[in-house]
Amino acid sequence: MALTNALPDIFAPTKVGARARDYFSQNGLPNKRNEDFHFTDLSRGLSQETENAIIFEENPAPIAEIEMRLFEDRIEVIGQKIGVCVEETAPNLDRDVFQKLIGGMTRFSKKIVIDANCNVAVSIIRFPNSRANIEIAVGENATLNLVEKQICGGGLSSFSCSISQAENSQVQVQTQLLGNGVDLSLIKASLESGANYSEILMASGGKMVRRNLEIKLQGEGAKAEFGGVYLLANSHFDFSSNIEHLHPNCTSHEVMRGVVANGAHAVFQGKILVARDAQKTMGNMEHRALMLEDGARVNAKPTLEIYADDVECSHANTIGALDESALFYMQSRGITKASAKALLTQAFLAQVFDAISDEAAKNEILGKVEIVLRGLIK
Amino acid sequence: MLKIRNLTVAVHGTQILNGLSLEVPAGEVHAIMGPNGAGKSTLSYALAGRPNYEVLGGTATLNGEDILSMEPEIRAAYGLFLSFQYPLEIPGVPTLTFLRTALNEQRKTRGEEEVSAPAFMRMAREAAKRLQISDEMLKRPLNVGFSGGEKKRMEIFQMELLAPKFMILDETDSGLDIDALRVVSDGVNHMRAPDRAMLVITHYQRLLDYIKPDKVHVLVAGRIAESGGADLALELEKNGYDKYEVAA
Repeated sequence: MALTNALPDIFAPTKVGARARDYFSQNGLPNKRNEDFHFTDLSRGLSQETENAIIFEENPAPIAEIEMRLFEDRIEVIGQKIGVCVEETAPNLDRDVFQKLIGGMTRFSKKIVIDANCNVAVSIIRFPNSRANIEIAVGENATLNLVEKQICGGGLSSFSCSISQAENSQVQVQTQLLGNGVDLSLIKASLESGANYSEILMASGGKMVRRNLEIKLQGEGAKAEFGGVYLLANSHFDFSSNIEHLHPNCTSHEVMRGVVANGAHAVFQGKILVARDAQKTMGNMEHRALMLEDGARVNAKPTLEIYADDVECSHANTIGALDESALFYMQSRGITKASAKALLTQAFLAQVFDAISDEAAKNEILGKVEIVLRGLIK
Repeated sequence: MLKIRNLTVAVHGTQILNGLSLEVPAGEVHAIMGPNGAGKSTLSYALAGRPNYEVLGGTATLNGEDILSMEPEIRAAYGLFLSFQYPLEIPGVPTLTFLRTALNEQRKTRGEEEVSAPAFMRMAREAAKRLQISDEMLKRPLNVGFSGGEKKRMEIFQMELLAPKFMILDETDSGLDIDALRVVSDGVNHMRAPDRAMLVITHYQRLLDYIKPDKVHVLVAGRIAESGGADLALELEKNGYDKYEVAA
């Protein structure tokens, strides 16, 4: 159906980009007919005229030992550390259409190799229009503190980060998706035995924003935790996660809460897959959304696909509004309606981070949440 | 202080108050008693400004200001306080955060300076001690997981900290055992002052043994059927509301 000349000019001048262009010219870009993109029609989002991005060239002090600055035309690496090496690579993303698409859009690629027992903080700053791929190999017993920050400014951007975690490695991720253009991003993590992955995320949505989180628990006792919040007004955010329990005795815990104001569209698609051998799996997933006004939309699709018979898996999903009686009660004590809404909403979102022990990361995200909420609540 | 004239209020289209008139001068405590469905809670909600409580006619003024045209939070800043019959749970908002926000927003509305965190803590500790409220309760989200009695004590605690001019206690005694009733009543009596007034809504004379009213009003079918001294409560306890309902 779709012809080459109908494809938007989004693919990078790389071998992977050329392969992707061929693939999508034959198959078309992912659209509503594809179940994974039923609520987020990428074909439409990518074909729209993208507004010019605001390009930042500021040079703030790096916030971590190693900082990767992803620009439209380059990746800058600042800082170095013994036991950590940065190499060139090419995206190895072929599993599904989303991976093919992001791989094909990727202009620059780097690989970070972290030696065993090494402890390092890395920040990745995504500037508007950047399309980059980062691979990270985390050695045995190594610890990685990773910050991914997307700077707002519109445009069209893509990002993929593949993390392979060796035995007993620890990865803590703090993600801020604050771009307001079209953005496709993907985090993949594979965990060997005893490895831990934990992430806290905040997203404000954009013209069309799609985030995939793909986790493979493939070693004894591996554990993944995710806590995320989204705050949307006149914006779109689609979060799709796929957590695969491939080995016995692994644990996953995923909580996403969001608020949507007028004109916003939120999508949550969460899947837990438990393979036949993955007995004694503990997996739970929760999504709760708060609609602040009429004229907002939330689609949620939690899925459990379980082939083992001795597992504890659960999912919860709610979409609701603020309690009017509670609002009146607060007003009767002198709190303005807007403040009452903000307090209740903030409390609702903050519960996601109750279990996070990293106080500094938690406070940074909560501070951002408060600022964004102020703009959201009238 | 509080003057209500001919107040007519409908809730979801059903008229509940039918031209109620009442006056509570500064320094006095008035009790309102009446059978179920007479409009006692409707009166308190209408005065506090609950949405869907539609004022069809009449006036209510506090120190000469028309309160019915104000937003609920402005009424609060102006000195009106309603102690809820069923206080709400506010998940995720610690009690002290809630109260400090309320106090400072009221002060801002009145054009007063904010109270600093240490000064607020001192006020809170003192009031909490009197009402037998533990530090642990103050740290918890407001009313979440509190017993009925704890919620009522928390209402009086809030009242003390916000220091309103006019207080409405809507069935504050319901759900309280005798010890809790004494603690709550002591808290209420502590608030009595020449420049304050209070409306105590109750089903039972018992509460009025602890909080002595200057006047008792009988509310039946949406208006005041009779007013009298403290003795009227004893008479109602003995004879019930039958004679008013026949008359209504």
